[in-house]
Amino acid sequence: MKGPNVVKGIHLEGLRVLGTPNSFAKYYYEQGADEIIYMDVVASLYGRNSLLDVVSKTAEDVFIPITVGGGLRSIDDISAALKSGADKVSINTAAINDNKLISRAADKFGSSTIVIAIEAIRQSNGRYYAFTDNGREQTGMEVVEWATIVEKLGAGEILLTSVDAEGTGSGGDIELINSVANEVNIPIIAHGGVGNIDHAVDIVTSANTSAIALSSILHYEAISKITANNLDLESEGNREFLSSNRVVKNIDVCSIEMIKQKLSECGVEVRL
Amino acid sequence: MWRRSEIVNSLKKIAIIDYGSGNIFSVSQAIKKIGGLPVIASSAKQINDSDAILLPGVGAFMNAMESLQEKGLSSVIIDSVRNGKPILGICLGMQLLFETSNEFGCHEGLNLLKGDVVKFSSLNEGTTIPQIQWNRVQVDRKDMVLFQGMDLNPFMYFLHSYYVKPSQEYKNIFRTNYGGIEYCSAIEYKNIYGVQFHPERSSADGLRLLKNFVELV
Repeated sequence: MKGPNVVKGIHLEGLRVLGTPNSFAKYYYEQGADEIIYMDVVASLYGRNSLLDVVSKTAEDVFIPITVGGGLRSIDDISAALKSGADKVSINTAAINDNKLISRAADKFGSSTIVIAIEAIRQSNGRYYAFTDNGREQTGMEVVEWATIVEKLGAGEILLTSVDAEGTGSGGDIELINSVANEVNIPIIAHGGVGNIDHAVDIVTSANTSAIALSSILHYEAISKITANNLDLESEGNREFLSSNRVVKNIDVCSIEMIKQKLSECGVEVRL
Repeated sequence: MWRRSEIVNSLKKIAIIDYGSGNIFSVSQAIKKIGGLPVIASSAKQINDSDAILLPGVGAFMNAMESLQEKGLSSVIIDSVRNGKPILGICLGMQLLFETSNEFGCHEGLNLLKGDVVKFSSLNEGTTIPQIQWNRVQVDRKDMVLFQGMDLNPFMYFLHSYYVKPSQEYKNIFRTNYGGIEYCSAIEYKNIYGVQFHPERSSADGLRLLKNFVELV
């Protein structure tokens, strides 16, 4: 999300406006999504209240878990997000800057409420490092090292984004997911790279992950279905893509229903 | 024509206990959705005026109990329930209905049900803690209150590291399998109901469960 709109880029950059968060969330809820993740990519620039308004509005008619992240920096920020209807919060930069925030938050709200987002970028030496600010800032820490630290501090879950794969539709980074999963005992949500149904099945069956987070593959399908796609026309943003009817390279769009059906056929137990 | 105030009067008043932490907003939206009247309750009067109590919960057991005691709500809840008012505990709220918890030391709960709260341990290798996922509740019969009108063994959304171990032989206990153990994920005993999962986040079946609870009031 950016300001009042859903946006999508590639490698978390080059954001295009796709529609309003509520219309997407409601569509996915009706389609059988198991969880909604709202990630405010530029929270620091736009202020947090607009994000929390969107969360509250969503919680009025979406009755699945909602995770909210982007710009949450303190116990008060987390508390405000939970009060607005979030079930879990996702933290990246603030946790890197102040590791103790994780333990304080876990003590106050329970471990299962605290998700740590890790943006992983593979370096030329083959190692993965954790980044912040949509893959722009290097933290100097290896992903696996950081993952084990956040687990010790009381994080309940890891949202693991492969920035290299994100938005490309070239398949998930199974090596990355397993390298983290082998070292921690908390659930991992794998994010980034799914461009078709087979990619999704591949991650679920070959990587040791508890869940997958999808955006491009679903968003580009959803925009054709959401009728009341009320864009906030007052806000800035690149909406050329929406009016152009272009298809997205490498993304074989599909619905949540189709993905769950396929997973079920492959022997994975899913809620249909 | 009914006036608005009359319609509001006819709705079941559900006191959602506000003790500082907890996902009160989503719980109250869900109660609204299924036709109840949610009242965010932080006083004895609000609890006494209600038709039923909903004890939600996110967070740590000790903090929650301390907060309930400081606000003077624990004794009000206990008295109301002993006098027959229905209560539904959700997640931590279910755990609070029991005697003691060993989360960060040993702490006393509301003691409305007999048993302890313990942390997941000795699970199958590779099983993550907390459990954060949709999982099935083993419901093999249709004569219970909470699970009326849905398919057997429904999926519900779970988010927890601790679970209850009832010590008394309660007749109506429903179990969930996680990492090889079968633990109590729902209980019905007289006017006391508890669910370890989050019905307010469990889509249509979760809403149905809340509706079943509100309708029995």
